[in-house]
Amino acid sequence: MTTYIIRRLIQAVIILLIVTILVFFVMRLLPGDPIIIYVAQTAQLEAMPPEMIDKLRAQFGLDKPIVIQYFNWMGNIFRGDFGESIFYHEDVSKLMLERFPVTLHLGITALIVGSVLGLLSGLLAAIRRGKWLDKIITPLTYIGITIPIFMLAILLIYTIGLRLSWLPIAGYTSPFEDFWLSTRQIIMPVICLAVFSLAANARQMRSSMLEVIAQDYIRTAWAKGLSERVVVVKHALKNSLIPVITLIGLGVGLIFSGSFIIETIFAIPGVGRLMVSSIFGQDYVVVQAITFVIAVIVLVVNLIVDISYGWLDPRIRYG
Amino acid sequence: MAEERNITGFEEAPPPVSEWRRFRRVFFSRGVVLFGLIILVLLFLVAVLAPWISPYDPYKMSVGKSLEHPSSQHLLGTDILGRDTLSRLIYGSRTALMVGFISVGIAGVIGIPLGIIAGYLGGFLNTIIMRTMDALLCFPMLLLALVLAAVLGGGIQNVIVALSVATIPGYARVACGVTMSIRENDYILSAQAMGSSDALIMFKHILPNTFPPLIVLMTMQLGALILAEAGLSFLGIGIEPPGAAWGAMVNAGRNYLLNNPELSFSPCIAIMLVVFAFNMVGDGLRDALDPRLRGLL
Amino acid sequence: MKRILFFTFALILASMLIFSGCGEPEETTAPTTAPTTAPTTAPTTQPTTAGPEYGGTLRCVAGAIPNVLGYAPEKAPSDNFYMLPVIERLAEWGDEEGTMVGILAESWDIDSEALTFTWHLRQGVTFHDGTPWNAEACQWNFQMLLDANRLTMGQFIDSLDVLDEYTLRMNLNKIDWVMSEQWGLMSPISPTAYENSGSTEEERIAWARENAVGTGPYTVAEWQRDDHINFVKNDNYWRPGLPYLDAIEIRRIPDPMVAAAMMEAGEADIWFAVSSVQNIVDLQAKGLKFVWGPGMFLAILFNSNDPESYFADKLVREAIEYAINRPELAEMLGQGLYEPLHQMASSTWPGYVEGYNPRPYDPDKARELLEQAGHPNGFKTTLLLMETGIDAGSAIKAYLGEVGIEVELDVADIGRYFGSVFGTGWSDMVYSASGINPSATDLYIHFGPNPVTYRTGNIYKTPEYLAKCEAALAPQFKTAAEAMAKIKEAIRQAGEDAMIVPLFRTAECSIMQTYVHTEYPKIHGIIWRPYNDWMEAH
Repeated sequence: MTTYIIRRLIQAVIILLIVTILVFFVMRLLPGDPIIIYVAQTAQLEAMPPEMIDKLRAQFGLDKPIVIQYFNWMGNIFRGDFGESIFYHEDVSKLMLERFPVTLHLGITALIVGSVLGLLSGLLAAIRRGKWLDKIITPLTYIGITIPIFMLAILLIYTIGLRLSWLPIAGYTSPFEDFWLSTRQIIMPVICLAVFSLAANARQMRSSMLEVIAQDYIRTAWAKGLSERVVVVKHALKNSLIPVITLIGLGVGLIFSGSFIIETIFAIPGVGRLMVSSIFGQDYVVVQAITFVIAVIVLVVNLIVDISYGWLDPRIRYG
Repeated sequence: MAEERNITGFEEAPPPVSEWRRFRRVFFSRGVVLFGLIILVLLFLVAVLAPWISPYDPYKMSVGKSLEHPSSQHLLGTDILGRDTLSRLIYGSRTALMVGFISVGIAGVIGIPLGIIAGYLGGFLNTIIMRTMDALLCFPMLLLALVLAAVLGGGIQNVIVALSVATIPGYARVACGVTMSIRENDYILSAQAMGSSDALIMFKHILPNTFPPLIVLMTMQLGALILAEAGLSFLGIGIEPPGAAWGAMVNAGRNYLLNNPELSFSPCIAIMLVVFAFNMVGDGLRDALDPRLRGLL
Repeated sequence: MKRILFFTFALILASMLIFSGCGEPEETTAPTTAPTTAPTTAPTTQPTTAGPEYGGTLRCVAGAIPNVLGYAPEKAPSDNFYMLPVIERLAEWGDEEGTMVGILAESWDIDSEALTFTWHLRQGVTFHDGTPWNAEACQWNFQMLLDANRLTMGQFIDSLDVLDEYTLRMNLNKIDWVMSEQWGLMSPISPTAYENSGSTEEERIAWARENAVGTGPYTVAEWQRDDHINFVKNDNYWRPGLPYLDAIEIRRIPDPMVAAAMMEAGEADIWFAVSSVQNIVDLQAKGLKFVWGPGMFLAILFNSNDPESYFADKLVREAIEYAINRPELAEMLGQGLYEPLHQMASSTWPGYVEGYNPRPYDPDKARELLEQAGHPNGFKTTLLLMETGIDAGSAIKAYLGEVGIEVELDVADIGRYFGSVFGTGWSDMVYSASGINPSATDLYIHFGPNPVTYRTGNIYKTPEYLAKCEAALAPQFKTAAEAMAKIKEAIRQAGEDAMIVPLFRTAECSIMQTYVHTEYPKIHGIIWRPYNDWMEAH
């Protein structure tokens, strides 16, 4: 087990290296010059002579050969320095510290909601197969996996936010500042972020549960006269979790993708919105740093997922 | 990551899919699958027959007044430039299919051979290829597409390229997994013993075995791609206007939700139906081709 | 199974029905029928009240909030605007005619003989840190911009002299009336606060990015980057009895639909600088209050200076102008709120040449001109635009398609668009938006001999046009009003040369609850007087 984890960690480092190379060079393929964009966006009404532009370029180290720039960047990351944003003129670490907690707050909540509710509704649909509960859950999962999330966001804003006035329309407040307001504000964004995973998890859970229920050992358990709860929870549930866990691992990436859209709509100052504006503003340093951190998160989650297979199904050996 | 997971699925080669009858029985047994299939057939028909069935030129301005409500002249009303929404919806089916199939095609053509090579030859090559694929997977798909579309500019071909690159790793992983699971099978070993070249073995013996899971994956990806195109449109990187694309139509129409909800809802329903159909048909194919894929795809 | 399917789609349909049922009843009010009149008056149904009341927190939504608070060399136009409650200007336009009025400057003298520009500053004003506003502070602020090369027209300043406590003289190498409008926008911060904020220049700059000590009616209470900024009343403000409001909160809402929903739900009191037509139309039906501004000037710019370009040929430029049905375009896109333009000025603008419309819609004439120009079968070209211009671009593509010109729309993200338009140039045509100033400065900022915005040199300007621009900038004119006759000649010349294709003037307004009182953006999108804004008790 330990050797397996060590091997996986080495792999993760290799993957991370490739990620940095990819994002670094892809960003530099973008047509256009971040310095020009910055100057044009901030200084429309002011003339800026070319010497000043060159000076700015040197300030951000963009005048050096591209390979040198890469190694400088990597070197700085090891020192915990993610560089300075061209647009914000601010340390990227500071920007990320402002933004990541917000996205993680939403993301983790969405992940939990998506997993727990997904598993629960899938489970219910499976053990009540063909009954009315199944007939409500299954069609809802169809909507969940097909609706574009920005449409869902808009529908929620208009119905729940505007017409029914149940929840605030947009904005974000830290839960440490005002927990109740914060919770009310994140309900709609969390629904949007979670809806796809929730539906996918429920579908997966339902079908793998149905399959497990049909297995011999479950029939044996029934035959032994064990109660429904014991059979379901102790025997069936654990074994049907494996494919669902895989989905949850993939869900992390989906949540980051979703946050790009959802944070824009609900005016949430998270990392997704920062990412989108930085991609358009070609703020290399910010895009690189965020991608790096997201990659680390995705890798760690996947590692945990893979390790948890072993716990869920002892038949899996780590060779 | 791939090699550990195959234990759950590919312990041996899937049986050759010879039983057409069994396939038919399983595939057509579920109502939803059939329903999905009908939607897809209709979609193809609409796309092919678009010039004949669409009531107006989808790109022509002022065929009606600006923002007309649904009427017998314009069944789904008109948009801000007075273009017929129904015609644009009909032509949008072409865009949807084109984006879906070409992206899946490109991603498959690149991803599958990479996966097979990595799985069959193993070693250092495997590390390089599969870690690169993992690295690509670390980019959220939308991020990758966003960056690529920003590099390449808008326009349908660039959206296709962006979506293809974002989906390559999925194919490579599955192909690699299948390959590794059957690499040591007798018929492969005997082919090797008989002196067949690696290229021939990969092409003749391994490639066909990767088809069942990949066909399922591709079908499901088609739906995901159509949704991703809608997401890209929302973020401002989508099919180049005035081309009729559903995602772009939903996004453009949302400004008029209060007075002209049909502008946004009709392409939205179209997207949902088609995504639903691809998913259901994908499910059906999976159950019919290889039920053991459940939980993996 | 069938039942499940039925249920699914019934559910989708039901949700959509609930939703569309939420919309307004069928009445789709085409807002106004006269597209040519600028909607400048607010609805008159307001209850008349005695006068301004004190107190209250104004909750605002806006598309942007300040990113850099106090460090002038890095401030963008939107930073300057949203910091107006804190940092005031020397002078700005006081009315829709473009008359300049002093704020932190009381008056100024332009001596065209001696080439000096002398500012007489307001006395008795202090910064929020208690230090006085005087000529030295003014000089320090100008110098900071000059050192950073970020003062518009700063290249014409040779030196700055403090003549006495409240008089600052600029020694120039060239002089014209545009300078007073440009330099009046200078927004000073307290030099003392800046100098004491850190031991190194880096620390001081870092401080000034996130802090601002000005002279304004409010001070910054809280700022969260990209999310919100809150201001609270400055009790020692120099205008007696002002401001009225206790606090102002500006929240950044990037998506206009969401902002509109917040206005309708009463979650915000005012929405600044709204330009999305459909939201305006929707909210007009909801009984909210509107203050209209001059809007933006939309035009097609050519790459006409490149002899290889199709657009170097005046006949082609003329053909394009003839080919576009601007009244129809403005009506469709603006739903009655836009004004079609046929010259480089809108009818709300002092430089407007009455009745001048050199090339009304005439596709046959356009085809004829193209044939004369040697393109009987048209040609292929591109139009650079941003995502926000897609509707207009699609329409232009369709109009030009009618006369045989095949246009490919090149939709750029904001980065590439700005990079091209303000930086490296564009290849064929660009769909562009410029501000409309109450005086005539925008002509020079955008299309003058030394433009500040479209300065790539892509646009061909005839010697006649340039001469007329220079004539309007002659040193003897001290204000825009004095130069207006000459300005009109320049505008007419640009029309004769088919320099650009003016398309339409957009609608821009603030939307507010009925109890809110403000004049923003009546004069211009950059003129906001937060000290005058107030709210009725509600």
